[in-house]
Amino acid sequence: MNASMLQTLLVALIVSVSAILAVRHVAPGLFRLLQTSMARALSRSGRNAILRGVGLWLQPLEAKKGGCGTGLGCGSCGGCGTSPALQVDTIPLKINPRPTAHH
Amino acid sequence: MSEALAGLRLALVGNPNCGKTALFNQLTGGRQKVANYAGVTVERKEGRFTGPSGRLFQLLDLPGAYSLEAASPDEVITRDVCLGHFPGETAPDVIVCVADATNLRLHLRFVLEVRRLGRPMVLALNMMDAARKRGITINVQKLEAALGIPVIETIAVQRGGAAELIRRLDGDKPSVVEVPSAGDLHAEVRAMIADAVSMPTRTAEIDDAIDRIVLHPLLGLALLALIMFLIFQAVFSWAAPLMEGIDAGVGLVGEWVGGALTSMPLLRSLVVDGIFAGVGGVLVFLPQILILFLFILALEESGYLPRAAFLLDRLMLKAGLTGRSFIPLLSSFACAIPGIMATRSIQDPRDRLTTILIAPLMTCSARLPVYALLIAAFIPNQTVAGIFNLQGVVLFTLYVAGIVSALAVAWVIKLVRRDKSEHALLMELPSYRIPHPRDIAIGLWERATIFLKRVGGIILSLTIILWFLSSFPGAPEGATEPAINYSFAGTLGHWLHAVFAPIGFNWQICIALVPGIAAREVAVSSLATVYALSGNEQGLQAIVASQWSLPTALSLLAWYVFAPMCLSTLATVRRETNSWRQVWIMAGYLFALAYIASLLTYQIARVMSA
Repeated sequence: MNASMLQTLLVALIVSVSAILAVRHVAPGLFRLLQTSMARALSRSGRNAILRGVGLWLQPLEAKKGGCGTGLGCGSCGGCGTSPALQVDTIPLKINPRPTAHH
Repeated sequence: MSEALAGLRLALVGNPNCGKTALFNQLTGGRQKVANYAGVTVERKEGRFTGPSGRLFQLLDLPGAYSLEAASPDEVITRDVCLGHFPGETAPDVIVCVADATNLRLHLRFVLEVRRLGRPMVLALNMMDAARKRGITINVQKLEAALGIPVIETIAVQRGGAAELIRRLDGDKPSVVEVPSAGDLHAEVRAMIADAVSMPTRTAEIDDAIDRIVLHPLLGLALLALIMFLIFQAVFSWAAPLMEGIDAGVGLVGEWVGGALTSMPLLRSLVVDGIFAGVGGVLVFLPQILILFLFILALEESGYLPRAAFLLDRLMLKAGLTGRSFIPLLSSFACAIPGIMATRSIQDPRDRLTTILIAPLMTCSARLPVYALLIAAFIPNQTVAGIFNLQGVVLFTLYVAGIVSALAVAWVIKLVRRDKSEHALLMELPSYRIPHPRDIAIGLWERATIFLKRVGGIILSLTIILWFLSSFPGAPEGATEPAINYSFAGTLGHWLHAVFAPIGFNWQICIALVPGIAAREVAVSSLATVYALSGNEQGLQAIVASQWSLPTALSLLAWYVFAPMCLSTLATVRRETNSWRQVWIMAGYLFALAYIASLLTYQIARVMSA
């Protein structure tokens, strides 16, 4: 491999990794969707072992560990029962109209 | 499964600002934010620790609450967790109720309310060191007998200050006390205090003496203005040598790396013009950010900030806010995201929405690199009135511009909204505390880490992408202009220039605005990269000073006072309001304000300088 090709490869690699990191930061939901879809496509049965390995590596971390969203449960029992709904610690704002004063 | 293996779930509850999070950090080794005012913790935090016997404890740190009859969204979390109603979470095995030993008259009421839940419970009498200093003596045995629960003294801010609490939790699980669910809690507290507590004065004399000046309607406001003014003076005066050092260091490393890559011109351009010029251009602002946070952290620890909220309550009331909005707005000086989340401590949903909508107008630390770059380039580093640094005065003015705009927008919202009811401010004023150097050092370390992670993460990624978009496609044969003019970014910059020309932005600024939406500081690194690729050998500050007009620089400053250039903030507003409508309203009014302010600034400055 000559220096010019090595240079092109290095630049392509750096730019690609940067693009992936930027998408993950700016659009985490989209990134996760793409990551999961790609991992599923690669891990499908019938694929060769290397592609399936890449698919497994691509899976989101909690999916690998059997956490939320895998059907194995978010509780501490590691999948011994039905998982509770994914807890989201947010308090959305809700504005109710004030009751009108009666004179 | 044995209890030891399963672990014990503990929840820290108590009135705001009694030291729950400091105790949480002490027990778990965590580094959650602590400060000397109410409302720092607005979400549930979780940690783990192991007792001396090897038993595992899962610890929840909950937002402070004055009552289980929740009045604000953060108190709802505490109530729901204690009652076992929080989604996906069972009630804690043991409730660790934390009370400020210097203010038991207030804190014991909540302890008695929690005791009525009929769950195993321990009382941690925190801040015992401060209580002793004030001559307060507490007969722990008597208090324990009256409450019927274990009472343990703690000093959460001192190493080993929770050892006795850990020992007690590691022993037998406290038994449940049966108490009647009705009765006057205040009367019960008064009786307990009369029996078990001896207190020379209800408040500390030193606090009263300081408050006579700090809370004075005129002196207090003058002092607040002076403190803020001095902070911005220091940001410019103290940071200069450190910034020069970082700049020189980055330059040397860049030259060395560039020299080693002479055989690979494309890679050399990426490293030198992209990474070192771009990222290095942002990195130099680390000292200024740390100096700003040194003061903010010291003020947070001292207990001064709630006093400032009290002082500004009347002004904020006129603008349609309450003093309760002060802490969320102050948090927004670090970053709008924690500021928006801190609005959970505001009880009235309308006040909360108004505070959310104006929070991005507070000058977050990500704007500092942009302000500092333009001020250093255009404002002479000279002294005015004998003592003031002119650059510091301009920076102070920009921060004030953000505050005044926020108040003006809140006032307009007040005019527009149908419900014009006002809410009195009820806020606890904590005792003054000398900031602990270790806590300040940890706080600064955290801020430095956050900044460096941003520099090494999103700023680096976007700078590299911008380098790519500014380098490809290359210039056609026979091209006479710099190659960047023919690139993707150059083409986009020229298109956008048509929209932004009336406000004085050149095409290079237009390019920098686009990645700046992801993180404001990227605008600086993008400008550095764009100018480096245009063949400029000077530093960014020198380029800006020589190639931009003063009206353009002022216009960009005005743009950054208002523009909602942060996607993460918009995402947080969506989450906290559960509404895309509010996001569009916020983004729309901020862009409109930014454009109008820049247009006026540019046109007026152009006429005046003609």
